[in-house]
Amino acid sequence: MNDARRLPAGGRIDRGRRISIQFDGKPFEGFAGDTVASALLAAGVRLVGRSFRLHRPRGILSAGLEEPNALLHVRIGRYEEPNVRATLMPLRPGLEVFSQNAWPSLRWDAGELFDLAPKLWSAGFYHKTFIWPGWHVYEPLIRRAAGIGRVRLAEALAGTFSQRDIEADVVVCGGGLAGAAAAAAAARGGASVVLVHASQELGGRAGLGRELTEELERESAVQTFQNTVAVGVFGEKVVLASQHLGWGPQGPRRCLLRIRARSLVMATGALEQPLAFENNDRPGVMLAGAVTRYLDHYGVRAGRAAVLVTNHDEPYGALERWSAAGIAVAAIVDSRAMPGPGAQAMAAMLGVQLIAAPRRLVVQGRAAVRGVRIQDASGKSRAIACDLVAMSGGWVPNVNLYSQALGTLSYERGLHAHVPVASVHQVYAVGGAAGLWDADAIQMHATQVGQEAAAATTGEDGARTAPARVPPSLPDRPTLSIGPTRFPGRAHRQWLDFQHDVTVADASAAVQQGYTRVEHFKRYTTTGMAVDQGKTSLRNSLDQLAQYSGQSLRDLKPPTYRPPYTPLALGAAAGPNVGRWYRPERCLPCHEDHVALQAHFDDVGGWRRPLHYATAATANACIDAEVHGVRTAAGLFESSPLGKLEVTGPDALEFLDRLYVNNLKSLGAGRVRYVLMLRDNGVVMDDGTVTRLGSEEFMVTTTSGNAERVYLWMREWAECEWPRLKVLITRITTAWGTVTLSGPKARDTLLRAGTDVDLSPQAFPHMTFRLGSIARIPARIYRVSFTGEVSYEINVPADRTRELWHALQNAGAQDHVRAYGIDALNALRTEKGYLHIGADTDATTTPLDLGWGPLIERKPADFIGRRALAIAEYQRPERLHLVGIVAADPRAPLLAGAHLLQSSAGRSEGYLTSACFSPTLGYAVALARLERGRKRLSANLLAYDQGRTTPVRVVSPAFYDPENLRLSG
Amino acid sequence: MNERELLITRLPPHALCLVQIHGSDLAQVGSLISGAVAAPGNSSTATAGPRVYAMGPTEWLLVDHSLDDVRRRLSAGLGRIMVRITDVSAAFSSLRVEGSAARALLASDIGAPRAAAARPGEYARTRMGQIDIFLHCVGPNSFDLHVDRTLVDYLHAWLDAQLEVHNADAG
Repeated sequence: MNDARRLPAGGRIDRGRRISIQFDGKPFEGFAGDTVASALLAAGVRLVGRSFRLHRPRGILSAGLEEPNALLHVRIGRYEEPNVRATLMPLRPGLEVFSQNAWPSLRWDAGELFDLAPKLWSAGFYHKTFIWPGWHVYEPLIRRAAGIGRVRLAEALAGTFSQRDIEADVVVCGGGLAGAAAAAAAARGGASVVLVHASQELGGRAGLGRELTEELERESAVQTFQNTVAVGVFGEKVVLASQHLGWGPQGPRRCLLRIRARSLVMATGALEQPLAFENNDRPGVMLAGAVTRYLDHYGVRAGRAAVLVTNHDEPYGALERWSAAGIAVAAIVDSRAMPGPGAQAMAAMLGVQLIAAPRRLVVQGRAAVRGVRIQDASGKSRAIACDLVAMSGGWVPNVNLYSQALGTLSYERGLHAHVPVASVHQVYAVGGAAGLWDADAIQMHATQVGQEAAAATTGEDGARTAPARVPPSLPDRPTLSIGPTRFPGRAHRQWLDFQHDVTVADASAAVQQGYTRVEHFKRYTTTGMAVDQGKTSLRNSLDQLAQYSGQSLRDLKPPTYRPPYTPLALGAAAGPNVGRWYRPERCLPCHEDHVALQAHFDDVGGWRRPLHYATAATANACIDAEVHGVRTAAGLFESSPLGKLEVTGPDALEFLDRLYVNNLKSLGAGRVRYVLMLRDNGVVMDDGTVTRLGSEEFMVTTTSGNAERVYLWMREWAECEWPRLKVLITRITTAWGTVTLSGPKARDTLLRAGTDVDLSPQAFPHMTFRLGSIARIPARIYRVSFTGEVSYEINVPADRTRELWHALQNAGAQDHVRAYGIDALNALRTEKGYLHIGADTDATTTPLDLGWGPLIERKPADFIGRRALAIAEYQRPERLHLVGIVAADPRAPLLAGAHLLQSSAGRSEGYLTSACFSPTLGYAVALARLERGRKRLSANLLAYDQGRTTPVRVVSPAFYDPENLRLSG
Repeated sequence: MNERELLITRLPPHALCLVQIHGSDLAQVGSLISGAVAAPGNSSTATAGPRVYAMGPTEWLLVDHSLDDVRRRLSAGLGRIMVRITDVSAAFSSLRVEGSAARALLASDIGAPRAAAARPGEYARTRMGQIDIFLHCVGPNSFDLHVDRTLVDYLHAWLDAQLEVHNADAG
């Protein structure tokens, strides 16, 4: 076992249990309790990865979830996962880890050639690709090179992933001293508490006292989730957390927790920041706090000879501990001209040379630190041999989750960081996250916050009460003497963001280009946009932005923090909702009959619906036969998913008239009207029918996919906008099954099935409604058509739909009535030029584009969207109008999505929205949206699709029976 | 009861109707309707026989009530106030999940976690397996799930799959 850097004793590892792993195919050993990072450091491994852009050699920087460099691909059995932080991955038997982003090997990576000309790939590279010579030149290369790590999806989903919802009065994120104190206090206050902690043991840097530990163990009101990382805060205090449950035979067992809180306490601690100096990214340059943590937790010396680089006093306190453990401190380099007296005394006591405010600091070594070269304040240069550079640029509150929960931040000069300023909406920050350092102050403040968080959610009798208290004020934060975060030197060799290779020079370039706003600066440089979300880069980057742009950090608002706070495995996000369980699948009432008819099914709007029935050798032949059947005899179609809403009440007519474009005031009892619904911005939202069942009773149908949306839209207007209208809306979509019988033989079939309704065209004309029975089943029968043929849309109680289907099948057998599917329906309605919302319309289509202008002008009353239709944009003559398209060559196919051009070199003037080969007409027909389309009937154009052009002609969209003679038959 | 002490069965069809009133009438008739349909509260009801689920402040779902009885009881006190009663029997199907593992199974993926800890009589309108359901605790370890009839096959299969995971986890 190569563990030359391991101390003979100490740490929280189980030295009795050795575990073997492999790194890049080479065996290593560690102990139970080790992370991959501690085991590799113990074995003296420095180089663990390559940077994303310049392929710089990188080593382990930290000891926690902020790690930006040591991202490894992990394999255990069948399970694989990229971008696992070595600092968080515990050792386990059979573990294989691999470096990423290097070829042919980690040691000799061809990609390092990029580092020879870093200015070619500097910040703004993406921005410039759009300027010259064009994005399309770069796109293939960038797409191949983009990303960190590679997901092998099947292997990544081999684990077991579950999801769970939890509710609690108080949710505490972070189980350090502050989080534990807040949780215990909240529980004492009578609240149910969930405590989420990223590691196995509670207690952060300060540790927990025995009293607090025992109280938490005793307290049944505190539900503690260890090995659980909060990854985001959403909406009304919903915390998303990923819990690691251990390893199963298939891989990791993880559970995604959705935790609903009434009060949120963020105890997420503080993060130590790097400093900017030349080659500060070399393997062997680490955060000073991490060096101490590897000693204390794992008994590992991160190096033999160290140089401490700092800008404040705190890390001086660790030097004695390092020396005692065998890490010789070769020198201290402080960016300040005058370190604190305590720091100077410590350096003197240890006999370590202290170099203050040097003119230049350069790390030497490529794949591992070999030393540093320093030019001191007097200009004298010297080289110091070392294999470890420990840096500390101060600690900044970890406010990512607090900010996601809409907590506000302000710059605190004493900490040189942005800190929470006040609790909002029962969201609190405690401990290091609140900018507190002293353990006593932390515990006192966290206890007060825990009590307040509990009081804000529970009354004395347990009843929920609104928060009415002023949250406890923060104790005074410490004033740390933080020096410059950057040392003088070559800016393009000083790294700010290790993952995205952002340097001080990039920050300078961004400001020179005018990107002086934080959000612009962030996007131009991409700092903070890698998977570490800026945990070790944001503060220094903002500092450089402030320096170069002459702004004060106080005036720079930190960028928006977004979830995930830390990477979340794809499998955990998907949870059990994969494969068959991806989303609920509705079955039609006659599903078994469709199966018996050998239907080919597909998911259409969440329903499992027949596309066509396997009656011929090819799908097209099946569809043609079904269309032919409807046109010449009759067809049966199950349309149960059609949205159905009953709208009733004395104001129901007024309500519907306001909702729809059509004038419904003239709708008589027993009549049906085709209607169009708009959003308030004038864009088409849905179509359907409104039937007047009685004086105050209406039946509304919607498109299948929009049934729920239209229902909620109606409820919103009825309850929020027009509460005085006496109207009730009842959702009955699945209470009724619907079978449509369509074709010239439809009437005969219904008569044979048996009905008490007079079906003659005079007694039951097109667009009317009758109550009656079919095959002795009580039914609501509508004469509406989406095929262009005589059609009866028959609604029966859902549990009797199959009975109706069988009756109609039997009655139609002698006329060869057959079932038809969605594909045939699509062809039938396209032949007829009927609109399909969502296919022939998009999020910009207005009724004016569809030719509904005259109808709208005739409607006297207002309706939703009417005012918006008056805006200039909707009046432009170049708007896309709905038209019909036929190919000049009758044999030529037309495809939806093809663009319409004047000439092969011309621009797109529209596109085909629906297209099919019409078995009835014998040639391809299409609907299209075309600029000034209605003014261009008979125009000749080209349809362009993937390099192929087809001459076409613009026609009226009604291809089949334009006089509607067959409908009224 | 299988080896893991769990049984999932489909219940025979129930008579269900939806009672709705307009929000502006709530103050006048809300308690009258609750009384007429014998709704003991907004989160509990009888465990058998006629029972009622409050769907919201102005909507109730009645199970195994006689529609005519409900109409008669309501019409006596409502006068001109609008009440809508809709037969939705065909829109729902019901499953019963019972056995010692029922609570653990239901708690594994339910939108309202407290519903899985309900006492007999308590019910919740929540989500399970991405589906809207009524979950009604009808016995110490027995729950009725009322769900849209078009989704009942999916929910049944989903519960079976969850049971397998649950059994695997239980060792």
